[in-house]
Amino acid sequence: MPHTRTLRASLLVAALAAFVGAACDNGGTTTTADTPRSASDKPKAGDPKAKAGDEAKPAADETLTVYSGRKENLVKPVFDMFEAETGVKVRVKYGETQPLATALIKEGERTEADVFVAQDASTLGFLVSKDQLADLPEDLRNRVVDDFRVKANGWVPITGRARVLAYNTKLKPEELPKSVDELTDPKWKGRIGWPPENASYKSFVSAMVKLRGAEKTEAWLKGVQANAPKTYPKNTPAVRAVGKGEIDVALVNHYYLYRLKAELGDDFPVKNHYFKDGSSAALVNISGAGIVKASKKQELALKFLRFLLSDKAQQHFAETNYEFPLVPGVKAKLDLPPIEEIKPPKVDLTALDDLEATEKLLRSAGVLP
Amino acid sequence: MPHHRDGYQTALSGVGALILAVAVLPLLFLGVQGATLLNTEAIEVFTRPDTGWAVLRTLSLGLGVAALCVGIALPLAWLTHSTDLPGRRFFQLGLNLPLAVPSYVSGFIVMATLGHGGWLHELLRPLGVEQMPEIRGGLGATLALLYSYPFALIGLQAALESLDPRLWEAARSLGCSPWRAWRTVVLPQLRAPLLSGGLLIALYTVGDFGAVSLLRYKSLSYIIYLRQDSLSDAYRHEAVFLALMLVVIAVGLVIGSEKAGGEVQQALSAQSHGRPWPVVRLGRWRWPAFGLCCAVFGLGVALPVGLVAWWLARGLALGHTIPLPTAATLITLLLGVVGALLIVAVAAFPALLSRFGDEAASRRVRLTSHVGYALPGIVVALALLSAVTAWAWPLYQTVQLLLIAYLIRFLPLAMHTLSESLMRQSPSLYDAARSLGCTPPRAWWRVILPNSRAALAAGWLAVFIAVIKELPITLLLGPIDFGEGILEDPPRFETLATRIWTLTADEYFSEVAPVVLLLLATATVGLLLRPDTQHRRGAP
Repeated sequence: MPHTRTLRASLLVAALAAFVGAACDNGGTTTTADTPRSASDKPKAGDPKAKAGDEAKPAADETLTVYSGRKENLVKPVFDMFEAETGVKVRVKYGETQPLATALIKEGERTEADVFVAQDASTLGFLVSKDQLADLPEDLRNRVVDDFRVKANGWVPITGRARVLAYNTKLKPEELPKSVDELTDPKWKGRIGWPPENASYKSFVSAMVKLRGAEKTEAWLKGVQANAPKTYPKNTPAVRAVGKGEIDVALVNHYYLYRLKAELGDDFPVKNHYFKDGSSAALVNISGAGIVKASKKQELALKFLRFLLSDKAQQHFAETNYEFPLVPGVKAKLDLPPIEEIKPPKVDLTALDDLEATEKLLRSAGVLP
Repeated sequence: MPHHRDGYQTALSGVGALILAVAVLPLLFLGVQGATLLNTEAIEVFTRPDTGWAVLRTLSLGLGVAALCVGIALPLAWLTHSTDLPGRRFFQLGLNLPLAVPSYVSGFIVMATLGHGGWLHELLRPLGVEQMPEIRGGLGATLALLYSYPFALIGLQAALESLDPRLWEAARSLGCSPWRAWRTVVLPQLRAPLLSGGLLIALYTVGDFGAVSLLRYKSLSYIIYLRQDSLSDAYRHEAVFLALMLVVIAVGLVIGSEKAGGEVQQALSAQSHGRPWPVVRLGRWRWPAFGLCCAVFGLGVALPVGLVAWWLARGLALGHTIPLPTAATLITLLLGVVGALLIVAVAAFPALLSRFGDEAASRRVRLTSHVGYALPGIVVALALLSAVTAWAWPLYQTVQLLLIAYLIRFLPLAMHTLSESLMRQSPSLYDAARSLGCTPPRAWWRVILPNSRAALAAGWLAVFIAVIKELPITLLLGPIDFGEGILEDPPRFETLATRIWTLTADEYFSEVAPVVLLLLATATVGLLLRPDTQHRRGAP
């Protein structure tokens, strides 16, 4: 049919024209200096005047670039609140935390990123060890409640996620293990699940190494391995498998349960069991953020971090994401136990050597290939 | 076919060298990195027994999936080519759609249907089935990767379309049964597309991460991903060596398929193209064939659509608001259309080179370009990240870089069908054009390439679908905003694939449902945009 062919051709041409136009202009902004653009404060390599220029600009023109290892649905509402409040446009590059960190390091001085947001402490510790994050002022770090202040100076915790044992509600509370050590009992054979590739799982094992030493941790890992735990690529599939009865319990973070309940309905038959015993199984993992050392917008980035730790932002993280807020005065969602009650162990999880040792341990115990 | 070298062929070789220089980037980067790591402890990875097992698992998955997919694609290609199959035209397009289902979605589908508490389990539970057999592992990964069979189907369909029907007609009129005519006349002509389809699927499989991770199959690509993601330098170094092993496997597979390939037969005369095929009557096989096509379409398209529609319905029932990603759809469509056009245009050069120029140079391009395709996307993405931040900063995080990255990754998808089609063309065609005074480029442009329309369209389609579902490169190397500088308020750069990634990470089922449907719809748009290359006599 001739006219479908014409239609097809004109569609193609229109698409091409629009696209090439967009692509060229896009390239233009990064290669030529004289193109007018709204995001005029994109830093240029080797331009010493960039910093002074940026600070003189009124807020309405400003943009802030964030690299976020946390997913859009969890953080964008808060970024939007910041935009609405300050008039600063927040540009975000979302990605997997580790490749984003690699990108930041490779970009070096020329990076566009001003702020790095990560879903786990280990990557932030890694970036501090590579000298990528700027020191933060004392008052910002002190904004976080005592128990969760970190020793490293390059980043601040933003939210907390507790380690729990998610269990199928067909189990009675008295059947649940008092501590993770009971999971090595043969009665749990084939009933346990965990996500060993996940950063927060690795943090949990690191914490155990800190508290008990490598040998006892390895013995525990091997003990659970003898019960043939099912492995999942992430927390959520493990929690879902608990709901389906494929496994009875899973060692995961607390807030995925609420995410799944929102998706699947409140009758999703899973509950969280908090160990509350000061052991590594009661660990509270933290997501956090830092200011990129090479950023030309240190002031603005600091303003952004302050906002992430403001009551308003913390309230949102608590209410919508079911995360634990980390500033005094903001309460966690009612369904959650108060964070003081969880009795998390007191360990610093940002030392990179420890994380490397943990990965070796997981491999030698046969948990990870 | 002997041609003496002239300026045009030198120019062709020059372009070939240029393409080679781009295609070799990830390999070069890995090689250099590997060389600097020879004296570190990571080298032990070569002597570890686990590594040997991972290689074996990778090879068996790659070859197994390829064989099964080719087995599925071959009958489908013939049945939808020129038969009286009910709904033939529909199946001819629709059976290519499973390719648009990303492997991380097809892995999910396998779990949701065959896993514990899945649909099948719910059906069997009343019969007293408490435990489902474990679907994770090799079996599940194989099933999830079967969705890649259209890589073979697309090439087979193109080959059949340019097949001279007179061979078939002659065999039939000489008293051959349809089956015998098919076996002796049609099948030998399909040897090259079968092999290249199988090769593309095997390479896709060995580089896949989505399905093997979800289904816990410890293949090389899954282990590379684990090592790459580590905070430990030693482990990340191991990833380099493991990736180099995957390179060796890929090159081995390409060479193996070349050895098995044999000569491509050239057409009998210049007029083969354009002659319509007669309608082949399926007789009593007509309805069983229809059943087969329905079954494949059902599992490959209706099942994923049904699953996400169910998510959507459940979400709506719970009162979720479900946003439609219009900007992401548009960006995906544009990237797919432009990326595929670009890649097909570039692929024409090595294809012409192998037919009219330096065959050895063409072979170098062929071997190298397959490396980018077989490596896991994240490895290519990180290699390019290092290369571009060091040597080509102005390109960093631009759409242009993204297109180059797609080129490095998907060039083989366009090259195979095109090279075969050029090889199959009658030599008299080109000679006639030349003797009528055409310069070689003019002859290529006016005669040779138009005569390979079906192959060009097939290559375009395969690349289009590969581009719209590409994830790791788009995520890491894409620009932050799209259309910055021309649009008042530039939208964030995101594609349907990155959208699916972000939503599935935290199980936003109902929100991801329309995105998956839009991805399939975009692939359908690609199928419809494919130029009409049908030449067929008689009823539908």
